[in-house]
Amino acid sequence: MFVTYIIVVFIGLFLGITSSLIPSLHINLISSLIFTLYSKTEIIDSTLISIIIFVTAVVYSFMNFIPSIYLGAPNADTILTVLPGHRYLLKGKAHEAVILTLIGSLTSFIIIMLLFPLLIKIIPILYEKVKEFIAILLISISLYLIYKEKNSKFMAFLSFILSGLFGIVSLSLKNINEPLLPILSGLFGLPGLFISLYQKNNIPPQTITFPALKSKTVMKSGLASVISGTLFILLPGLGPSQASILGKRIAKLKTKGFMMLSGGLNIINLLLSLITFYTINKERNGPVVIISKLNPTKDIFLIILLISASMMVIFPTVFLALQTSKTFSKVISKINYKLTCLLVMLLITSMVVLISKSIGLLLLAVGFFIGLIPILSGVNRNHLMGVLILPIILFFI
Amino acid sequence: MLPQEKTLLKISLVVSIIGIFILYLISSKMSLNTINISEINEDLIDKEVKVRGMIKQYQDGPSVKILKVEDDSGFIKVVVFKNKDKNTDLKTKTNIEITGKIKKYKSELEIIAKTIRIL
Repeated sequence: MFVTYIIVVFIGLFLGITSSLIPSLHINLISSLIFTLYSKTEIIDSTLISIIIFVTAVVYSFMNFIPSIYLGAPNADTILTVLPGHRYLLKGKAHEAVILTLIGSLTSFIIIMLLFPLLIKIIPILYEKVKEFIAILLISISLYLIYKEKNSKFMAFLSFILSGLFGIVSLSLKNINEPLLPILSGLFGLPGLFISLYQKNNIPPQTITFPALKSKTVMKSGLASVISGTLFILLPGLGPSQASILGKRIAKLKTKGFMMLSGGLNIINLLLSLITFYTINKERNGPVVIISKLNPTKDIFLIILLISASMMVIFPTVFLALQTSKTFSKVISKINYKLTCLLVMLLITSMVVLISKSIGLLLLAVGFFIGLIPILSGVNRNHLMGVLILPIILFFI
Repeated sequence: MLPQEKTLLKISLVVSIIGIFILYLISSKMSLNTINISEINEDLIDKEVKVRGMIKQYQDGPSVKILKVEDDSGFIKVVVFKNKDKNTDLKTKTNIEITGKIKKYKSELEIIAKTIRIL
């Protein structure tokens, strides 16, 4: 049994590494594909498949910043890190940006592990307090983010409303496979890549250096990510991206702190989602939704298995992420960046056609034009999360 | 902002609005066809279906109602969450039309009802 356990942990590690390096491929889709494959074959136990999915998600949450930083191809969870990460790339210090996100992930992982028993007690109490006010809180946070927009508040509002309407009509379409793939790739993936094609971004040779850091900044960003991550896990529709804005303001973080905060929030979202699944029956994260389908009867033994499996892969993941980033640093200035962006766009479009068919292509196209609006008007792309927030607000009203 | 960017922004706004409208039309025209219960298989997991049948068994729990619905081709379990159901007069031998998602629970397929209409 122990040998089988180790084998599935390594399968998860392998799947996590390979999938996280494919630009814009979201962990939700990977989990769904593993689940579909499992439900057709049922060759192994549902607990073992849950471990594979969870380990894949843990590894993915550490490594998916690499394509975001080097290629500028974000998914919904990494959109806000791309801009500062891209600045590091243009300064020849993309490897430092990757190190910062890894330090953030590692610090947050350790803090969450230490607080795990406490969070199991606290989260249900907090949820009881906020559940009556979910719609009000979502509206307030969305308006606050629009109000805090430095450039055009009107364009921020328009981006939120248009993406929200897009979300309402898209999510009401029936029997489309993986609707979030074309929706999120259209809004967040293609527009950034498209703009890169027209910008004179000559990628300079990259240097392999370690960022100068103060331990106080590391701890401050770690705590900020745990606090904002815990608050946002209680609210549906809000994810690591929005939590990073709140965390940045709470802790008054600068670029380095923000990169670490963003790095930490992905793993926090995954681990806390496991707690919300166990305590309040709410899964706020795609892979945990699949795990809940596989294990309808919640069992603390399963939670312990998943947590210990994730602990086993943390250090190999960090090591492999550093090696991968070094390789990217060596080749990125030599490759044709525009051609790479074009190929990534083609890859995303092909995946959409393959999985979500022609209706998916329509969603991708509409999402693409909506996604261009905040980039061209210079407002934060975070407002596009209206695509999920507005339908949820309507559901709760 | 460059003139080309302004033009692209205007194009994006117009195409977005038209696109949302087209998607709205598609979603309002897209209605589910009724299928036989025997046609439900694992390929339909997480997909929405519409079936018609008669309630053969009825169980009322604290938060869910569990129905066994039968048509000419077979039967299936239907789970109805009470906060989503406004039908108070569901009882055995009632003919109903259900739309909902197919889920697998303890190796059995079931429908998680979204709407139930008494026929």
